[in-house]
Amino acid sequence: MNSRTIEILLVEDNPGDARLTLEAFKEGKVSNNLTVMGDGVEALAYLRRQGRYANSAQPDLILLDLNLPKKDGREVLAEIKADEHLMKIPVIVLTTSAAEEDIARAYTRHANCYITKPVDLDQFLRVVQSIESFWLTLVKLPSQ
Amino acid sequence: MQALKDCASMISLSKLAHDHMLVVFFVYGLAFFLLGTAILLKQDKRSSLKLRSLLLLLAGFGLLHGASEWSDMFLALGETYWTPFLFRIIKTIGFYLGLGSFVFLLAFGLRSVALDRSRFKWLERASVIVSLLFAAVVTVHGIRTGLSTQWYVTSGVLMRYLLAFPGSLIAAAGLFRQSQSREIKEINSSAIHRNIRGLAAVFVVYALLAGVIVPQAPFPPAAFINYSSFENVFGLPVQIFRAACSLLAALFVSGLLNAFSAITYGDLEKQVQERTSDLAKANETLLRDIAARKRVEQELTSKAEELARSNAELELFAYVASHDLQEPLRMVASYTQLLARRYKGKLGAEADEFIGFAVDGATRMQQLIQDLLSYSRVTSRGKALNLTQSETACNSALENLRESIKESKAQVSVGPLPGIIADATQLTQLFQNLIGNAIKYRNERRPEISISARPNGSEWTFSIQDNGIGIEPKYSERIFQMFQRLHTRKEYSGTGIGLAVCRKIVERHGGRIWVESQPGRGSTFIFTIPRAERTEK
Repeated sequence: MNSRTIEILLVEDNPGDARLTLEAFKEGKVSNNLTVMGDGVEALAYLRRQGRYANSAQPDLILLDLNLPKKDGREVLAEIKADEHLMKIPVIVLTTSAAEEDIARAYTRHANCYITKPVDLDQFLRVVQSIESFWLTLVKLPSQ
Repeated sequence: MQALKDCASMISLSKLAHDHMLVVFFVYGLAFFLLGTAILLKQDKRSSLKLRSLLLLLAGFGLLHGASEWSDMFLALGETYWTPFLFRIIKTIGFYLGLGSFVFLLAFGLRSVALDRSRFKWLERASVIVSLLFAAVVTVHGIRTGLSTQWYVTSGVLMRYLLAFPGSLIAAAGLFRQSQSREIKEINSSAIHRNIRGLAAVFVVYALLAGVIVPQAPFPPAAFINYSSFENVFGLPVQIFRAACSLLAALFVSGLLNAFSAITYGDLEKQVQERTSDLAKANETLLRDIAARKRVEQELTSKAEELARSNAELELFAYVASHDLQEPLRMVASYTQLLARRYKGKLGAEADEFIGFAVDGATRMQQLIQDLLSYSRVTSRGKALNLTQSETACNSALENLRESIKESKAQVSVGPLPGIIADATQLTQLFQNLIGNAIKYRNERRPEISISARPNGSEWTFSIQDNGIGIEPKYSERIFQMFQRLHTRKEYSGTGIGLAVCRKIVERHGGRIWVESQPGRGSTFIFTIPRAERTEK
């Protein structure tokens, strides 16, 4: 098993949702470090280690909400997948939207998977568990 | 002195008349001709008055009598003027013309008296027959006696007694009767009344002048009351008075016919006026109607716009409800659930209970919002109606309900179901809600559910019958209303949206839905959908 701490970047503007995701990952078995960015511009700056993020860690996994201030999730996704340094990082779109249009557009822009946030906490916890067991345990991620 | 002068003038008048008997007869005959021609010329076919057609008989009388008088005029030229043969011929023709004229007068009188009652027809016919018999008898007698002068006098006198006198009186009575008829009364014209009564009076006088005052004959009363005795009393030959009568008659008839024409034209004019005013009224109504319709149309357009706007607002509300309302609610629900998860049993039993209520409330609220959304989506997200196999939709519903059917060991039978014009997704939802309810509201027995459809006129009637707990009839309307429930959440879960959605779906398809049920005896939910045949493409 991978014993090193997994770096996760969560791009989510709602602190409540961010905290909930954080709490869900806390309950997980895999040791992880979850960083939260509140908008698209900040998230890209973090990923590109710009400005105050010069020393930031390259995440192993990105959880991306679609509705973000400043630069929304769709643009962030497109920029990540167009950036040769970032394109290999798996991006999981985690959003409340279940619109088919959003789903299709996300995959067109090479999202690695698309998950609609369940309303119910138990289901949400199960989703996070699934992410953990699949993306952080089963899947072989590219080395840093 | 004065009386003497009058007497002198009378004598001179009498002398004048005697000297110019030709003129008297001419005027006399002319007066009758005037009567006849006036009637004939003034006949107006547009008039439907009965009296007007009766007057034709009077015209016959006038013309024949005029001719008869003129034959007398020729005779007045004196026996010596003619050959004895011609004299006789003229005399005979004059006699028969007079006879004929009186027959017409009698017929006119009788028909006038009878009004329009056909049962008096025999009387009229009888009178004609009697007249003809009289003529025949007289003629036979005349031939036998070789048309002697005596024969002329006797038959002339008899003709006047038997035909002229009753004919004229009956004519007067008939006219009087006519003036009382409904037809004339309805016209209510003083001119007509005046002229009819005047004419009647003339005929009364004429009855005396022509039917009583006769040539002198050797038998009573002609022996005493005759032309010469009349002239002795009145100083003038009776023919002058008869001519005056006939002129008066012509005057009255002319006035009468003029009045008739005026009424006919008046009627026509009135009709035209009525039509015109009716038309104007209709036109006005039409204009008003058009204006009203335009107003209604405008109202309709503005209502439609309003409705579209309110619909758009509702859609927006639905969107807001689904996204913006959901978001904070999700927070409340999630964190209370997280609280429950992390701190259950650590904060004390009371805290656990409170957290339990908070979680329950939040989840229920979420469910309500979801239900509200699914209700509003029936119209806002409804798809176009296409030919759909209801059996396929029903089977999809059963597939979705597989778990609960298995769990409840429900026995479901599906009869042959038709193809209908419907939204397949909604039809599935409809079946699913109804069959789901049938399973949900079961009693201790094993659920038996049968789904069937039968044609009924222009629609299909679907029924979903169960053997469950049933519903009291007084609630059969309430259950279709949004969020109306008959049971506590402990007994049966749910928000009470299922049947409201069902009704909305059925109504969107142009049908109706209702329930027939008795508590403890199961329920049958029935819905109708218009038949596909006619709208199928």
